[in-house]
Amino acid sequence: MSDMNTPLSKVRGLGSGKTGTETFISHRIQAVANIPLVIFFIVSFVGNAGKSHAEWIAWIKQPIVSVLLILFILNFTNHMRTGLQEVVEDYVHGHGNKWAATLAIRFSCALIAGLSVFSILRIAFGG
Amino acid sequence: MFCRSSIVARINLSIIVKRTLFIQAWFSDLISADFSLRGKFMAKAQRPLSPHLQVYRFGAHMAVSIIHRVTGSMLAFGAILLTWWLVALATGYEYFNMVQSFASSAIGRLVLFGITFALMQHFASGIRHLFMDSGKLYELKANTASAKFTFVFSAIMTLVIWAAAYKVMGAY
Amino acid sequence: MAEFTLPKNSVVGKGKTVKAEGATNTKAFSVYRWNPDDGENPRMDTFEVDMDSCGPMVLDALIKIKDEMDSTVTFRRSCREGVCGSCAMNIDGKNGLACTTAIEDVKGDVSITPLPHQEVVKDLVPDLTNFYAQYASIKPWLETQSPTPSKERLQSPEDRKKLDGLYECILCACCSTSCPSYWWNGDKYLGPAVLLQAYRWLVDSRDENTGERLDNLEDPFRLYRCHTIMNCSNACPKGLNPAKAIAETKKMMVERKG
Ligand code: HEM
Repeated sequence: MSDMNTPLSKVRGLGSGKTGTETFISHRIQAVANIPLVIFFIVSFVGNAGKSHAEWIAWIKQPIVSVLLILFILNFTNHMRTGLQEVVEDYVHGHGNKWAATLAIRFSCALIAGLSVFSILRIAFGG
Repeated sequence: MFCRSSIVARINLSIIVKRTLFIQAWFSDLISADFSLRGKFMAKAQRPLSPHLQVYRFGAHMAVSIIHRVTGSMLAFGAILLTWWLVALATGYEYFNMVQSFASSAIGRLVLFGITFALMQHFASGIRHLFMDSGKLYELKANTASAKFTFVFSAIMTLVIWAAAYKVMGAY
Repeated sequence: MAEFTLPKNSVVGKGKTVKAEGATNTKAFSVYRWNPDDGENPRMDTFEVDMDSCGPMVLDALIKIKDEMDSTVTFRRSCREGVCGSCAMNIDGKNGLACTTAIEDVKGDVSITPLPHQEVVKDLVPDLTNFYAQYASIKPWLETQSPTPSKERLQSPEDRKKLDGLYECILCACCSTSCPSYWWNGDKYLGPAVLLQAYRWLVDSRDENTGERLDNLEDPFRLYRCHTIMNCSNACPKGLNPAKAIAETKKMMVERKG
Protein backbone atom coordinates (compact mmCIF):
# COMPACT_ATOMS: atom_id res chain seq x y z
CA MET A 1 0.00 0.00 0.00
CA SER A 2 2.13 2.84 -1.17
CA ASP A 3 -0.43 5.57 -1.56
CA MET A 4 0.61 9.14 -1.11
CA ASN A 5 -2.64 10.46 0.34
CA THR A 6 -2.20 12.64 3.37
CA PRO A 7 -3.28 11.10 6.69
CA LEU A 8 -5.99 13.75 6.91
CA SER A 9 -7.45 12.82 3.54
CA LYS A 10 -7.65 9.20 4.67
CA VAL A 11 -9.41 10.15 7.88
CA ARG A 12 -11.85 12.50 6.18
CA GLY A 13 -12.47 9.83 3.56
CA LEU A 14 -15.86 10.07 1.87
CA GLY A 15 -17.21 12.33 4.61
CA SER A 16 -19.70 11.50 7.31
CA GLY A 17 -22.45 8.99 6.51
CA LYS A 18 -25.06 11.39 7.93
CA THR A 19 -26.76 8.45 9.64
CA GLY A 20 -26.39 6.48 12.82
CA THR A 21 -28.59 8.31 15.28
CA GLU A 22 -31.82 6.86 13.83
CA THR A 23 -30.49 3.33 14.26
CA PHE A 24 -29.23 4.16 17.72
CA ILE A 25 -32.62 5.51 18.79
CA SER A 26 -34.67 2.65 17.39
CA HIS A 27 -32.35 0.07 18.96
CA ARG A 28 -32.93 1.70 22.36
CA ILE A 29 -36.70 1.88 21.83
CA GLN A 30 -36.71 -1.82 20.96
CA ALA A 31 -34.61 -2.51 24.06
CA VAL A 32 -37.06 -0.64 26.30
CA ALA A 33 -40.02 -2.46 24.75
CA ASN A 34 -38.20 -5.75 25.28
CA ILE A 35 -38.15 -5.30 29.07
CA PRO A 36 -41.90 -5.87 29.74
CA LEU A 37 -42.19 -8.32 26.84
CA VAL A 38 -39.39 -10.52 28.15
CA ILE A 39 -40.92 -10.47 31.63
CA PHE A 40 -44.26 -11.54 30.12
CA PHE A 41 -42.53 -14.27 28.13
CA ILE A 42 -40.60 -15.71 31.08
CA VAL A 43 -43.51 -15.58 33.51
CA SER A 44 -45.89 -17.30 31.10
CA PHE A 45 -43.48 -19.98 29.89
CA VAL A 46 -42.48 -20.86 33.44
CA GLY A 47 -46.14 -20.86 34.43
CA ASN A 48 -47.03 -23.23 31.59
CA ALA A 49 -44.00 -25.50 31.92
CA GLY A 50 -44.77 -29.15 31.15
CA LYS A 51 -48.20 -28.48 29.63
CA SER A 52 -49.65 -30.68 26.89
CA HIS A 53 -50.17 -29.69 23.25
CA ALA A 54 -53.88 -29.00 23.81
CA GLU A 55 -53.19 -26.87 26.88
CA TRP A 56 -50.58 -24.77 25.07
CA ILE A 57 -52.96 -24.25 22.13
CA ALA A 58 -55.74 -23.15 24.47
CA TRP A 59 -53.35 -20.75 26.19
CA ILE A 60 -52.15 -19.13 22.96
CA LYS A 61 -55.72 -18.80 21.64
CA GLN A 62 -56.43 -16.14 24.29
CA PRO A 63 -56.36 -12.84 22.34
CA ILE A 64 -54.19 -11.05 24.90
CA VAL A 65 -51.62 -13.86 24.74
CA SER A 66 -51.47 -14.04 20.95
CA VAL A 67 -51.16 -10.28 20.66
CA LEU A 68 -48.40 -10.05 23.26
CA LEU A 69 -46.53 -12.97 21.71
CA ILE A 70 -46.72 -11.40 18.25
CA LEU A 71 -45.55 -8.06 19.59
CA PHE A 72 -42.68 -9.78 21.39
CA ILE A 73 -41.61 -11.56 18.23
CA LEU A 74 -41.82 -8.49 16.02
CA ASN A 75 -39.92 -6.46 18.59
CA PHE A 76 -37.11 -8.87 19.29
CA THR A 77 -36.56 -9.78 15.64
CA ASN A 78 -36.09 -6.07 14.91
CA HIS A 79 -33.88 -5.68 17.96
CA MET A 80 -31.70 -8.63 17.07
CA ARG A 81 -31.45 -7.54 13.44
CA THR A 82 -30.15 -4.13 14.52
CA GLY A 83 -27.88 -5.75 17.11
CA LEU A 84 -26.37 -8.37 14.81
CA GLN A 85 -25.88 -5.70 12.16
CA GLU A 86 -23.86 -3.76 14.72
CA VAL A 87 -21.71 -6.82 15.39
CA VAL A 88 -21.10 -7.29 11.66
CA GLU A 89 -20.11 -3.65 11.24
CA ASP A 90 -17.57 -4.09 14.03
CA TYR A 91 -15.89 -7.24 12.77
CA VAL A 92 -16.60 -7.80 9.08
CA HIS A 93 -14.58 -5.40 6.99
CA GLY A 94 -14.57 -6.60 3.38
CA HIS A 95 -17.26 -4.94 1.31
CA GLY A 96 -18.58 -8.20 -0.17
CA ASN A 97 -18.56 -10.14 3.09
CA LYS A 98 -20.26 -7.30 4.84
CA TRP A 99 -23.13 -7.22 2.36
CA ALA A 100 -23.42 -11.00 2.42
CA ALA A 101 -23.68 -10.94 6.21
CA THR A 102 -26.11 -8.03 6.14
CA LEU A 103 -28.43 -9.82 3.72
CA ALA A 104 -28.19 -13.05 5.72
CA ILE A 105 -29.18 -11.19 8.90
CA ARG A 106 -32.03 -9.30 7.23
CA PHE A 107 -33.49 -12.38 5.57
CA SER A 108 -33.18 -14.73 8.54
CA CYS A 109 -34.75 -12.21 10.92
CA ALA A 110 -37.62 -11.74 8.48
CA LEU A 111 -37.98 -15.51 8.18
CA ILE A 112 -38.03 -15.96 11.96
CA ALA A 113 -40.65 -13.24 12.30
CA GLY A 114 -42.75 -14.59 9.41
CA LEU A 115 -42.78 -18.20 10.58
CA SER A 116 -43.43 -17.37 14.22
CA VAL A 117 -46.19 -14.84 13.62
CA PHE A 118 -47.87 -17.13 11.07
CA SER A 119 -47.80 -20.03 13.54
CA ILE A 120 -49.39 -17.92 16.26
CA LEU A 121 -52.08 -16.61 13.89
CA ARG A 122 -52.78 -20.12 12.69
CA ILE A 123 -53.25 -21.27 16.28
CA ALA A 124 -55.26 -18.21 17.21
CA PHE A 125 -57.66 -18.44 14.27
CA GLY A 126 -57.51 -22.21 13.81
CA GLY A 127 -60.54 -24.37 14.63
CA MET B 1 -3.58 34.20 -31.94
CA PHE B 2 -2.81 35.40 -28.41
CA CYS B 3 -3.15 39.07 -27.84
CA ARG B 4 -0.87 40.67 -25.25
CA SER B 5 -3.44 41.16 -22.55
CA SER B 6 -4.47 37.53 -22.53
CA ILE B 7 -0.83 36.44 -22.05
CA VAL B 8 -0.51 38.82 -19.12
CA ALA B 9 -3.72 37.45 -17.71
CA ARG B 10 -2.36 33.91 -18.01
CA ILE B 11 0.85 34.80 -16.26
CA ASN B 12 -1.05 36.49 -13.46
CA LEU B 13 -3.33 33.51 -13.15
CA SER B 14 -0.45 31.09 -12.92
CA ILE B 15 1.12 33.14 -10.15
CA ILE B 16 -2.12 33.10 -8.24
CA VAL B 17 -2.47 29.37 -8.72
CA LYS B 18 1.09 28.77 -7.55
CA ARG B 19 0.63 30.90 -4.50
CA THR B 20 -2.61 29.19 -3.61
CA LEU B 21 -1.01 25.80 -4.01
CA PHE B 22 1.88 26.89 -1.83
CA ILE B 23 -0.43 28.15 0.91
CA GLN B 24 -2.54 25.03 0.68
CA ALA B 25 0.49 22.77 0.94
CA TRP B 26 1.76 24.69 3.91
CA PHE B 27 -1.62 24.59 5.62
CA SER B 28 -2.29 20.94 4.99
CA ASP B 29 1.18 20.09 6.33
CA LEU B 30 0.30 22.03 9.39
CA ILE B 31 -3.02 20.37 10.09
CA SER B 32 -2.23 16.87 8.97
CA ALA B 33 0.51 16.76 11.61
CA ASP B 34 2.44 14.01 9.90
CA PHE B 35 5.13 13.27 12.45
CA SER B 36 6.06 9.89 11.07
CA LEU B 37 9.24 9.45 9.11
CA ARG B 38 7.58 6.82 7.03
CA GLY B 39 8.09 7.05 3.30
CA LYS B 40 10.36 10.06 3.73
CA PHE B 41 13.67 8.74 4.99
CA MET B 42 13.24 5.09 5.74
CA ALA B 43 12.85 2.06 3.61
CA LYS B 44 9.56 0.57 4.75
CA ALA B 45 10.34 -2.28 7.09
CA GLN B 46 7.24 -4.37 7.70
CA ARG B 47 6.23 -2.73 10.91
CA PRO B 48 4.68 -5.04 13.49
CA LEU B 49 1.34 -4.43 15.15
CA SER B 50 1.66 -3.95 18.89
CA PRO B 51 -0.04 -6.57 21.12
CA HIS B 52 -3.64 -5.77 22.08
CA LEU B 53 -6.04 -8.49 23.28
CA GLN B 54 -2.92 -10.53 24.05
CA VAL B 55 -1.80 -8.15 26.80
CA TYR B 56 -4.77 -6.02 27.87
CA ARG B 57 -5.86 -6.72 31.43
CA PHE B 58 -9.46 -7.85 31.68
CA GLY B 59 -11.88 -6.14 34.08
CA ALA B 60 -15.55 -6.46 35.02
CA HIS B 61 -16.48 -3.57 32.69
CA MET B 62 -14.88 -5.39 29.74
CA ALA B 63 -16.40 -8.72 30.70
CA VAL B 64 -19.94 -7.38 30.94
CA SER B 65 -19.55 -5.70 27.57
CA ILE B 66 -18.36 -8.71 25.58
CA ILE B 67 -20.83 -10.96 27.41
CA HIS B 68 -23.66 -8.63 26.40
CA ARG B 69 -22.63 -9.27 22.83
CA VAL B 70 -22.22 -13.03 23.27
CA THR B 71 -25.56 -13.39 25.08
CA GLY B 72 -27.29 -11.24 22.45
CA SER B 73 -26.01 -13.62 19.78
CA MET B 74 -27.02 -16.65 21.88
CA LEU B 75 -30.52 -15.20 22.09
CA ALA B 76 -30.61 -14.87 18.31
CA PHE B 77 -29.96 -18.61 18.23
CA GLY B 78 -32.67 -19.04 20.89
CA ALA B 79 -35.04 -17.15 18.60
CA ILE B 80 -34.58 -19.90 16.00
CA LEU B 81 -35.48 -22.52 18.61
CA LEU B 82 -38.56 -20.56 19.67
CA THR B 83 -39.65 -20.37 16.03
CA TRP B 84 -39.19 -24.11 15.64
CA TRP B 85 -41.26 -24.69 18.76
CA LEU B 86 -44.09 -22.37 17.58
CA VAL B 87 -44.15 -23.99 14.15
CA ALA B 88 -44.33 -27.41 15.84
CA LEU B 89 -47.18 -26.23 18.05
CA ALA B 90 -49.10 -24.99 15.02
CA THR B 91 -48.30 -28.11 13.00
CA GLY B 92 -49.90 -30.60 15.35
CA TYR B 93 -49.81 -32.91 18.28
CA GLU B 94 -47.24 -35.44 17.05
CA TYR B 95 -44.61 -33.08 15.75
CA PHE B 96 -45.01 -30.96 18.86
CA ASN B 97 -44.40 -33.94 21.13
CA MET B 98 -41.27 -34.79 19.18
CA VAL B 99 -39.93 -31.26 19.72
CA GLN B 100 -40.95 -31.35 23.38
CA SER B 101 -39.16 -34.62 23.97
CA PHE B 102 -36.02 -33.10 22.45
CA ALA B 103 -36.42 -30.01 24.65
CA SER B 104 -36.75 -32.12 27.79
CA SER B 105 -33.77 -34.35 27.02
CA ALA B 106 -30.56 -33.73 28.94
CA ILE B 107 -29.01 -31.80 26.03
CA GLY B 108 -32.23 -29.89 25.46
CA ARG B 109 -32.36 -28.83 29.08
CA LEU B 110 -28.73 -27.78 29.02
CA VAL B 111 -29.37 -25.60 25.96
CA LEU B 112 -32.49 -24.09 27.52
CA PHE B 113 -30.60 -23.46 30.75
CA GLY B 114 -27.90 -21.65 28.78
CA ILE B 115 -30.47 -19.54 26.98
CA THR B 116 -32.20 -18.68 30.24
CA PHE B 117 -28.90 -17.45 31.59
CA ALA B 118 -28.23 -15.54 28.37
CA LEU B 119 -31.63 -13.87 28.55
CA MET B 120 -31.23 -12.82 32.17
CA GLN B 121 -27.67 -11.60 31.69
CA HIS B 122 -28.59 -9.68 28.52
CA PHE B 123 -31.64 -8.29 30.30
CA ALA B 124 -29.56 -6.97 33.19
CA SER B 125 -26.66 -5.64 31.14
CA GLY B 126 -29.17 -4.25 28.62
CA ILE B 127 -30.76 -2.16 31.38
CA ARG B 128 -27.26 -1.09 32.45
CA HIS B 129 -26.67 -0.03 28.83
CA LEU B 130 -29.85 2.05 28.90
CA PHE B 131 -28.71 3.81 32.08
CA MET B 132 -25.36 4.54 30.49
CA ASP B 133 -26.99 5.84 27.32
CA SER B 134 -28.88 8.32 29.46
CA GLY B 135 -25.57 9.58 30.87
CA LYS B 136 -25.50 7.69 34.17
CA LEU B 137 -23.13 5.17 35.79
CA TYR B 138 -19.94 6.70 34.38
CA GLU B 139 -18.29 7.19 37.75
CA LEU B 140 -15.73 4.36 37.74
CA LYS B 141 -16.64 2.70 41.05
CA ALA B 142 -20.37 2.74 40.32
CA ASN B 143 -19.69 1.52 36.82
CA THR B 144 -17.69 -1.51 37.94
CA ALA B 145 -20.18 -2.25 40.71
CA SER B 146 -23.07 -2.19 38.24
CA ALA B 147 -21.14 -4.51 35.91
CA LYS B 148 -20.61 -7.02 38.72
CA PHE B 149 -24.23 -6.69 39.79
CA THR B 150 -25.49 -7.89 36.40
CA PHE B 151 -23.68 -11.21 36.94
CA VAL B 152 -25.15 -11.68 40.41
CA PHE B 153 -28.59 -10.81 39.07
CA SER B 154 -28.46 -13.24 36.15
CA ALA B 155 -27.06 -16.11 38.24
CA ILE B 156 -29.80 -15.73 40.85
CA MET B 157 -32.60 -15.20 38.33
CA THR B 158 -31.57 -18.21 36.23
CA LEU B 159 -31.75 -20.45 39.28
CA VAL B 160 -35.04 -18.90 40.44
CA ILE B 161 -36.61 -19.43 37.00
CA TRP B 162 -35.54 -23.07 36.84
CA ALA B 163 -36.62 -23.76 40.40
CA ALA B 164 -40.00 -22.22 39.60
CA ALA B 165 -40.36 -24.22 36.38
CA TYR B 166 -39.58 -27.48 38.17
CA LYS B 167 -42.07 -26.56 40.88
CA VAL B 168 -44.78 -25.88 38.28
CA MET B 169 -44.05 -29.25 36.73
CA GLY B 170 -44.51 -30.82 40.16
CA ALA B 171 -40.93 -31.93 40.69
CA TYR B 172 -41.18 -31.03 44.37
CA MET C 1 -12.63 -9.71 9.21
CA ALA C 2 -11.15 -7.97 12.17
CA GLU C 3 -8.06 -9.92 13.22
CA PHE C 4 -8.06 -10.88 16.86
CA THR C 5 -4.62 -12.47 16.75
CA LEU C 6 -1.34 -10.83 15.83
CA PRO C 7 -0.07 -11.09 12.25
CA LYS C 8 2.91 -13.39 11.70
CA ASN C 9 5.50 -10.61 11.74
CA SER C 10 4.13 -9.26 15.03
CA VAL C 11 4.16 -12.37 17.19
CA VAL C 12 6.31 -11.58 20.20
CA GLY C 13 9.21 -13.87 21.03
CA LYS C 14 11.41 -14.20 24.08
CA GLY C 15 14.49 -12.00 24.22
CA LYS C 16 17.55 -11.63 26.38
CA THR C 17 17.81 -11.18 30.12
CA VAL C 18 20.10 -8.51 31.56
CA LYS C 19 20.99 -8.78 35.23
CA ALA C 20 22.00 -5.93 37.52
CA GLU C 21 25.44 -6.82 38.85
CA GLY C 22 25.81 -6.89 42.61
CA ALA C 23 22.25 -5.77 43.26
CA THR C 24 20.30 -7.39 46.10
CA ASN C 25 16.91 -5.75 45.67
CA THR C 26 15.86 -6.16 42.04
CA LYS C 27 12.64 -6.02 40.06
CA ALA C 28 12.25 -7.49 36.60
CA PHE C 29 11.06 -5.27 33.75
CA SER C 30 10.03 -7.11 30.66
CA VAL C 31 10.20 -4.67 27.75
CA TYR C 32 8.85 -4.99 24.18
CA ARG C 33 11.64 -4.63 21.63
CA TRP C 34 11.50 -4.29 17.89
CA ASN C 35 14.27 -3.04 15.68
CA PRO C 36 13.30 -1.91 12.16
CA ASP C 37 16.80 -2.68 10.92
CA ASP C 38 17.32 -6.34 11.80
CA GLY C 39 14.25 -7.82 10.12
CA GLU C 40 13.34 -9.97 13.11
CA ASN C 41 10.11 -10.38 15.05
CA PRO C 42 9.47 -8.37 18.19
CA ARG C 43 10.69 -9.85 21.47
CA MET C 44 10.42 -9.23 25.21
CA ASP C 45 13.76 -8.40 26.85
CA THR C 46 13.99 -8.72 30.60
CA PHE C 47 15.95 -6.22 32.66
CA GLU C 48 16.55 -6.87 36.33
CA VAL C 49 16.74 -3.38 37.74
CA ASP C 50 18.44 -2.48 41.02
CA MET C 51 15.60 -0.98 43.02
CA ASP C 52 17.93 0.49 45.65
CA SER C 53 19.19 3.02 43.11
CA CYS C 54 16.05 3.55 41.04
CA GLY C 55 13.42 6.27 41.21
CA PRO C 56 9.83 5.38 42.10
CA MET C 57 8.15 5.56 38.68
CA VAL C 58 8.14 3.18 35.74
CA LEU C 59 9.74 5.92 33.63
CA ASP C 60 12.61 6.14 36.14
CA ALA C 61 13.25 2.45 35.61
CA LEU C 62 13.13 2.80 31.81
CA ILE C 63 15.60 5.70 31.89
CA LYS C 64 17.85 3.70 34.23
CA ILE C 65 17.70 0.75 31.85
CA LYS C 66 18.63 2.98 28.92
CA ASP C 67 21.45 4.67 30.87
CA GLU C 68 22.98 1.62 32.49
CA MET C 69 21.88 -1.61 30.83
CA ASP C 70 21.02 -1.13 27.15
CA SER C 71 21.27 2.26 25.49
CA THR C 72 19.30 1.08 22.45
CA VAL C 73 16.00 0.80 24.36
CA THR C 74 13.76 3.35 22.63
CA PHE C 75 10.79 5.18 24.10
CA ARG C 76 9.23 8.64 24.01
CA ARG C 77 9.48 10.83 27.10
CA SER C 78 9.72 14.47 27.89
CA CYS C 79 8.20 16.20 30.90
CA ARG C 80 8.32 13.24 33.31
CA GLU C 81 5.39 14.68 35.28
CA GLY C 82 2.22 13.70 33.40
CA VAL C 83 1.84 16.88 31.40
CA CYS C 84 3.18 16.09 27.96
CA GLY C 85 1.70 12.65 27.32
CA SER C 86 4.79 11.34 25.55
CA CYS C 87 5.51 8.26 27.65
CA ALA C 88 2.10 6.62 27.13
CA MET C 89 2.47 2.84 26.96
CA ASN C 90 0.91 -0.37 28.14
CA ILE C 91 2.20 -1.18 31.60
CA ASP C 92 1.18 -4.44 33.23
CA GLY C 93 -1.75 -4.84 30.85
CA LYS C 94 -3.12 -1.34 31.30
CA ASN C 95 -2.44 1.83 29.35
CA GLY C 96 -0.91 4.68 31.28
CA LEU C 97 1.93 7.16 31.47
CA ALA C 98 5.22 5.61 32.57
CA CYS C 99 6.02 8.81 34.47
CA THR C 100 2.93 8.72 36.68
CA THR C 101 2.72 4.96 37.21
CA ALA C 102 4.44 3.90 40.42
CA ILE C 103 6.59 0.78 40.19
CA GLU C 104 5.36 -0.43 43.57
CA ASP C 105 1.76 -0.47 42.29
CA VAL C 106 2.68 -3.28 39.92
CA LYS C 107 2.79 -6.66 41.58
CA GLY C 108 5.45 -9.05 40.30
CA ASP C 109 7.36 -8.41 37.08
CA VAL C 110 6.56 -5.24 35.17
CA SER C 111 5.61 -6.00 31.60
CA ILE C 112 5.79 -3.03 29.21
CA THR C 113 4.51 -3.01 25.63
CA PRO C 114 3.72 -0.14 23.22
CA LEU C 115 0.22 1.38 23.09
CA PRO C 116 -1.95 -1.52 21.83
CA HIS C 117 -2.89 -2.26 18.23
CA GLN C 118 -0.65 0.37 16.66
CA GLU C 119 2.08 0.11 14.09
CA VAL C 120 5.40 0.05 15.91
CA VAL C 121 8.13 2.42 14.75
CA LYS C 122 10.69 1.02 17.17
CA ASP C 123 10.52 -0.63 20.62
CA LEU C 124 7.93 1.31 22.66
CA VAL C 125 7.31 3.97 20.01
CA PRO C 126 4.02 3.59 18.12
CA ASP C 127 3.12 5.46 14.94
CA LEU C 128 0.32 7.83 15.95
CA THR C 129 -0.07 9.51 12.54
CA ASN C 130 -3.66 8.34 12.15
CA PHE C 131 -4.52 9.47 15.68
CA TYR C 132 -3.20 13.00 15.05
CA ALA C 133 -4.95 13.22 11.68
CA GLN C 134 -8.21 12.22 13.39
CA TYR C 135 -7.61 14.99 15.90
CA ALA C 136 -7.09 17.49 13.06
CA SER C 137 -10.28 16.26 11.39
CA ILE C 138 -12.54 17.49 14.20
CA LYS C 139 -11.18 21.04 13.81
CA PRO C 140 -9.96 21.54 17.35
CA TRP C 141 -10.23 25.30 17.31
CA LEU C 142 -12.92 27.88 17.92
CA GLU C 143 -15.21 28.32 14.92
CA THR C 144 -17.50 31.30 14.62
CA GLN C 145 -19.89 32.92 12.17
CA SER C 146 -20.34 36.38 13.68
CA PRO C 147 -17.66 39.00 13.04
CA THR C 148 -14.64 38.99 15.32
CA PRO C 149 -15.42 41.23 18.29
CA SER C 150 -13.06 44.03 19.19
CA LYS C 151 -12.63 42.65 22.71
CA GLU C 152 -12.31 39.04 23.86
CA ARG C 153 -15.20 36.58 23.39
CA LEU C 154 -17.08 36.40 26.64
CA GLN C 155 -17.97 33.23 28.50
CA SER C 156 -19.86 33.02 31.77
CA PRO C 157 -18.22 31.20 34.69
CA GLU C 158 -20.92 28.50 34.46
CA ASP C 159 -20.21 27.94 30.77
CA ARG C 160 -16.48 27.89 31.43
CA LYS C 161 -17.13 25.17 34.03
CA LYS C 162 -18.49 22.91 31.29
CA LEU C 163 -14.98 22.63 29.87
CA ASP C 164 -13.59 21.19 33.09
CA GLY C 165 -12.76 17.54 32.69
CA LEU C 166 -12.28 18.10 28.97
CA TYR C 167 -9.62 20.74 28.43
CA GLU C 168 -7.17 18.80 30.62
CA CYS C 169 -6.75 16.10 27.96
CA ILE C 170 -3.10 15.83 26.91
CA LEU C 171 -3.72 13.65 23.83
CA CYS C 172 -1.49 10.85 25.09
CA ALA C 173 -3.69 8.27 23.28
CA CYS C 174 -3.89 5.98 26.33
CA CYS C 175 -7.69 5.89 26.07
CA SER C 176 -8.05 5.49 22.31
CA THR C 177 -5.56 2.65 22.13
CA SER C 178 -7.22 0.88 25.10
CA CYS C 179 -10.52 0.68 23.22
CA PRO C 180 -11.36 -2.60 21.45
CA SER C 181 -13.63 -0.72 19.05
CA TYR C 182 -10.67 1.46 18.12
CA TRP C 183 -8.56 -1.68 17.67
CA TRP C 184 -10.95 -3.17 15.12
CA ASN C 185 -12.05 0.04 13.38
CA GLY C 186 -9.40 2.65 14.19
CA ASP C 187 -9.32 3.80 10.56
CA LYS C 188 -12.94 4.99 10.68
CA TYR C 189 -13.89 5.23 14.37
CA LEU C 190 -12.51 8.45 15.86
CA GLY C 191 -11.86 6.88 19.25
CA PRO C 192 -12.35 8.22 22.78
CA ALA C 193 -9.60 10.87 22.88
CA VAL C 194 -10.65 12.59 19.68
CA LEU C 195 -14.35 12.31 20.58
CA LEU C 196 -13.67 13.86 23.98
CA GLN C 197 -11.89 16.70 22.19
CA ALA C 198 -14.79 17.00 19.75
CA TYR C 199 -17.17 17.28 22.71
CA ARG C 200 -14.91 19.93 24.26
CA TRP C 201 -15.71 22.15 21.24
CA LEU C 202 -19.36 21.07 21.11
CA VAL C 203 -19.98 22.40 24.62
CA ASP C 204 -17.85 25.52 24.29
CA SER C 205 -20.42 28.33 24.58
CA ARG C 206 -18.30 30.58 22.34
CA ASP C 207 -18.31 28.17 19.39
CA GLU C 208 -20.92 28.87 16.71
CA ASN C 209 -20.50 25.74 14.57
CA THR C 210 -22.05 23.19 16.94
CA GLY C 211 -24.46 21.92 14.29
CA GLU C 212 -21.74 21.46 11.66
CA ARG C 213 -19.60 19.68 14.24
CA LEU C 214 -22.47 17.30 15.00
CA ASP C 215 -23.09 16.76 11.26
CA ASN C 216 -19.49 15.71 10.95
CA LEU C 217 -19.85 13.11 13.72
CA GLU C 218 -23.22 11.81 12.51
CA ASP C 219 -21.80 8.56 11.20
CA PRO C 220 -22.12 4.85 12.02
CA PHE C 221 -18.34 4.61 12.41
CA ARG C 222 -16.95 7.98 13.50
CA LEU C 223 -19.15 8.13 16.62
CA TYR C 224 -21.34 5.05 16.87
CA ARG C 225 -18.61 2.40 17.17
CA CYS C 226 -18.59 3.36 20.86
CA HIS C 227 -20.25 0.51 22.78
CA THR C 228 -19.50 1.97 26.22
CA ILE C 229 -16.92 -0.69 27.02
CA MET C 230 -15.34 1.82 29.43
CA ASN C 231 -11.70 0.88 28.86
CA CYS C 232 -11.05 4.53 27.98
CA SER C 233 -12.25 6.03 31.23
CA ASN C 234 -10.45 3.30 33.18
CA ALA C 235 -7.21 4.05 31.35
CA CYS C 236 -7.09 7.87 31.36
CA PRO C 237 -4.00 8.94 33.36
CA LYS C 238 -5.57 12.35 33.97
CA GLY C 239 -8.74 10.88 35.48
CA LEU C 240 -10.96 12.18 32.68
CA ASN C 241 -14.03 10.37 31.41
CA PRO C 242 -14.10 10.10 27.60
CA ALA C 243 -16.94 7.54 27.70
CA LYS C 244 -19.13 10.09 29.46
CA ALA C 245 -18.23 12.78 26.91
CA ILE C 246 -19.22 10.38 24.11
CA ALA C 247 -22.52 9.58 25.86
CA GLU C 248 -23.24 13.31 26.11
CA THR C 249 -22.45 13.70 22.41
CA LYS C 250 -24.91 10.92 21.55
CA LYS C 251 -27.49 12.69 23.71
CA MET C 252 -26.96 15.89 21.71
CA MET C 253 -27.46 13.87 18.53
CA VAL C 254 -30.75 12.49 19.85
CA GLU C 255 -31.84 15.89 21.14
CA ARG C 256 -31.54 17.64 17.79
CA LYS C 257 -33.73 14.99 16.15
CA GLY C 258 -36.55 16.70 18.05
C1 HEM D 1 -34.60 -8.14 27.94
C2 HEM D 1 -34.71 -7.17 27.20
C3 HEM D 1 -33.54 -6.66 26.37
C4 HEM D 1 -32.89 -5.51 26.60
C5 HEM D 1 -33.16 -4.49 27.71
C6 HEM D 1 -31.87 -5.41 25.58
C7 HEM D 1 -31.01 -4.34 25.45
C8 HEM D 1 -30.04 -4.23 24.50
C9 HEM D 1 -29.23 -3.07 24.28
C10 HEM D 1 -29.31 -1.76 25.05
C11 HEM D 1 -28.37 -3.35 23.27
C12 HEM D 1 -27.31 -2.41 22.68
C13 HEM D 1 -25.96 -2.75 23.18
C14 HEM D 1 -24.86 -1.96 22.57
O1 HEM D 1 -25.02 -0.77 22.28
O2 HEM D 1 -23.77 -2.52 22.39
C15 HEM D 1 -28.63 -4.70 22.86
C16 HEM D 1 -27.93 -5.37 21.88
C17 HEM D 1 -28.31 -6.60 21.37
N1 HEM D 1 -29.39 -7.36 21.75
FE1 HEM D 1 -30.63 -6.95 23.25
N2 HEM D 1 -31.92 -6.50 24.77
C18 HEM D 1 -32.94 -7.30 25.21
C19 HEM D 1 -33.35 -8.50 24.66
C20 HEM D 1 -32.79 -9.10 23.56
C21 HEM D 1 -33.28 -10.29 22.91
C22 HEM D 1 -34.51 -11.06 23.33
C23 HEM D 1 -32.42 -10.57 21.88
C24 HEM D 1 -32.40 -11.68 20.86
C25 HEM D 1 -33.42 -12.28 20.41
C26 HEM D 1 -31.38 -9.56 21.88
C27 HEM D 1 -30.32 -9.50 21.00
C28 HEM D 1 -29.39 -8.51 20.96
C29 HEM D 1 -28.25 -8.48 20.08
C30 HEM D 1 -27.87 -9.54 19.04
C31 HEM D 1 -27.56 -7.29 20.36
C32 HEM D 1 -26.27 -6.79 19.70
C33 HEM D 1 -25.13 -6.97 20.62
C34 HEM D 1 -24.04 -5.96 20.46
O3 HEM D 1 -24.15 -5.01 19.68
O4 HEM D 1 -23.05 -6.10 21.18
N3 HEM D 1 -31.65 -8.67 22.91
N4 HEM D 1 -29.65 -5.22 23.62
